[in-house]
Amino acid sequence: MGHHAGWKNFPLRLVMKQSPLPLTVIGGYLGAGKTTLINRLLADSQGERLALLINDFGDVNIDQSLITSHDGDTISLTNGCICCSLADGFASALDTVKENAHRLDRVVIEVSGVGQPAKVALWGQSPGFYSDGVVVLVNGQSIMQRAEDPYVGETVLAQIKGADLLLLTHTDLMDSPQVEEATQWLATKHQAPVLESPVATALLYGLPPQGTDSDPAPVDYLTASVVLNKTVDKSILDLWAKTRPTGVIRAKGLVKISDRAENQTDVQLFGPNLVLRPHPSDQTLNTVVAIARPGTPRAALIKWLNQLNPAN
Amino acid sequence: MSKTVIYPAAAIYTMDQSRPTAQAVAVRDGRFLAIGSLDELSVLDDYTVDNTFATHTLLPGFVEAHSHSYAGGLWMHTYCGFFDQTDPQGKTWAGCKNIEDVLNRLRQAEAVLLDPNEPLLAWGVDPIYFEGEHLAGSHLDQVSAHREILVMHASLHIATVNNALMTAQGITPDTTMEGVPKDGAGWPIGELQEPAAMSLAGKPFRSFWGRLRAEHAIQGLGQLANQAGITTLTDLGNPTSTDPATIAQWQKIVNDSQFPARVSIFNMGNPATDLQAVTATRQKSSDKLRFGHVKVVLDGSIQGYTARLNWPGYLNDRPNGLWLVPPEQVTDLLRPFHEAGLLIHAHCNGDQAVDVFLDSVQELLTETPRFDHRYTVQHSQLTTPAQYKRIKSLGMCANIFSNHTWYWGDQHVTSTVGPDRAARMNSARTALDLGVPLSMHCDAPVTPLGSLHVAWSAVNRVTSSGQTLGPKERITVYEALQAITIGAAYQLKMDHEIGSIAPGKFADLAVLKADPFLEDPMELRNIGVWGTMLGGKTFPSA
Ligand SMILES: Nc1nc2c(ncn2[C@@H]2O[C@H](COP(=O)(O)OP(=O)(O)OP(=O)(O)O)[C@@H](O)[C@H]2O)c(=O)[nH]1
Ligand SMILES: [Mg+2]
Ligand SMILES: [Zn+2]
Repeated sequence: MGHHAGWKNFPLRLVMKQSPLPLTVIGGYLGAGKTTLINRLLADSQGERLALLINDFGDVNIDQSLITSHDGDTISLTNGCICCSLADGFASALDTVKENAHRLDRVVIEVSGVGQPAKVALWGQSPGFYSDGVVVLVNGQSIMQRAEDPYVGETVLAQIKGADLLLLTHTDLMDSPQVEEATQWLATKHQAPVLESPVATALLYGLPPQGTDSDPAPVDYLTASVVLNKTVDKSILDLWAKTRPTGVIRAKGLVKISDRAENQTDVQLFGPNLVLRPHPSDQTLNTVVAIARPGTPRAALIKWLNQLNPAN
Repeated sequence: MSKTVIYPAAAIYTMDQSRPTAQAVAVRDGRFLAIGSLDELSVLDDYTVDNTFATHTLLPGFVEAHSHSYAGGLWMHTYCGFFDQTDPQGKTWAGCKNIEDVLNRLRQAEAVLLDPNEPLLAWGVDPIYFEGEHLAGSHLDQVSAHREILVMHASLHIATVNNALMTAQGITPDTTMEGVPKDGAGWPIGELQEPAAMSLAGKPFRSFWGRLRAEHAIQGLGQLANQAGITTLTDLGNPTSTDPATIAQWQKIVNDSQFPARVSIFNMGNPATDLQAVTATRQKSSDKLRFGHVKVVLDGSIQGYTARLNWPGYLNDRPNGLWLVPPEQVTDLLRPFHEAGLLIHAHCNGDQAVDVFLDSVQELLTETPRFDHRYTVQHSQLTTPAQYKRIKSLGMCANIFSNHTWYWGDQHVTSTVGPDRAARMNSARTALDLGVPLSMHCDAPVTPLGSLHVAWSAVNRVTSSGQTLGPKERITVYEALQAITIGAAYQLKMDHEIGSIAPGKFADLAVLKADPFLEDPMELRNIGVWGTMLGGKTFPSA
């Protein structure tokens, strides 16, 4: 292990003026706590300017009230909404966001309670954006029963399966065996990490708010990093992504990948998904940093990161 | 007061039991003044006789109670569908039966585009009929290597684009978006699946949809209606119907005396926030243009496997469909509109969606009883007899998607639900026998705007391959014509004004070139339409 890059001050989005906007998708069944979470994100935004899109009743709305209440960042956006059969609603909402990209740091989408967040996250692959993860909220009190519901059971399970991170809510109303039961049940459905709400904003976002240089990681969470001593093969990266130890919430980095043109590739591992994008800056870091749940063995985390530095 | 004009006709069917047939109608001030024999009408004061319809058959103007305004706008793009279809100008475009037909159609369209920078946009391609042939970008490259081409498939879920478009819009081997399939060498093959991938097509994609909202598109819709004998249309589900700009656009177009149809625009939005706005739009209504009703969409479509089905669901345990509204929220969603007394129609293709809607209506009616609410199940494709009994006892209506039998009946037998439930689909006979107020629709542009085709489908229940699905569910010609006139008018709360030929009603007529009661029922859809009369003004079709 070389020098220790912190989690929050890891400088991925450097100074490029129109670098792509991260797009975070928040999903979960009716009443799971999506709006509650988003309100917390807004309150805790540390100057990060968010555009919030609400996808409801087959429409996409840019939520004026929420954006306005988050002072200084009011965007006067025309209502980008669609009939379920007019497919350009999301496109035009994102076009509007893009026109305002210079005034924004992030897009957050709240998906309807019966919507499929993983599908919505595809929009994060549009030019001008990148997908920064799908967070699916799960009401711990009701999820196991809900999953059996003849009307919405499949919908809820499909939401869970599309998550990069599962966030268990309403746990304040449950005792710890119940929380444990719900967590284990979720683990049988999908391999994404499960966290108990509320969690620190930094865990939901891949990238630090610009200009902040605060503590390296939220309390109790474990971080570790590795400096790569040479170019890494894509096949090694793929294997590494697949062998992520349980407990790893996400990893990110800038590395040089053989057979890719760019000097540095932005690597994002959120849940099971590995996303690679060319990185525009000249800076060469060759570093990957990972964050894991409290209780994850440090040795396992480091061993895993070191897979990226295979012995010759 | 305008002068009275008497129009004799070869036959007149009024859809009004008190006087089911007549020799002539007398029209004054845009309304029917009198209906009867020539003798009876000759006692009127100061009339002229107009023999325009002397050899034609008159019916009440047809009422399409489930159509979408963008049906007209699609014709601003080149038609490449499998079935013959007629455009707003009255030109019939032969169906494209294979990929070569599609390419020829595109070549012709390309040849007349003057601006080299204008993208060529097309619609309606349905590779399901092309026996395994796959439409790829390389096919479209044969049409033009320079002009951007985007061909939207009939499902509206897939678009095929050419290399010129991919180059211009930056769709390359580096494109990581899901839904952009690539060939063995890593090049995108020119297929864009689902809206997120389609939007990579940039400006051509945005123009494809943008043009559908143009004034010209709505004018086209009126012309299509006119050719089909339709005098009242719906825009069933307009998400911006409370927006002043939308209202002004429709007022300008529809209230113009040259526009050949009445239009009822249903709002589709969030009841919690839209109630006051929707109620306010009622003040903007006129004789020709209506606002203030509400549509909600509960599920998807059966042919797209997105409708919500009760057990056993789709064939071969395919996953069940999608909800567009959480079922447990439907009652709360509808409550403000219910309490305000608004007319509510709900899109329910699958039988499980119907259950959810019926439960909600029952709950709301128990809380706050309402008379004459005319809650309508839209599409109602898989509704069971037990559900129709509930529909009846709750005082609700059904608007059935009868065209499905012809367009997708064979696929329903083999792929979606199997022969047993395909035979039950769109069961108009059951609905009528149980006394459910019935209408039938085409859901244009999902199927072409055309009431006689809708009626024909319900009368014959024949699929494209020629099999008859559920023959006992067929209805008579008279019943079918009732459903597309007075039946539909009832569901729009306009049956006191339109839907039958009776004194005092708007003088709206479908003018047919043959008598539907004398023709073979299998010929119903082929009967020529001369045009329409709307509010006493004649509109011969192109
Ligand atoms: N006790 C408790 N209540 C919560 C929690 N999260 C959300 N709630 C409450 O649950 C209710 C629904 O929360 P929302 O944040 O509106 O949920 P949502 O997912 O946005 O709901 P929809 O948008 O309607 O699907 C609200 O009353 C919240 O205050 C939690 O972790 N614990
Ligand atoms: Mg919410
Ligand atoms: Zn429709």
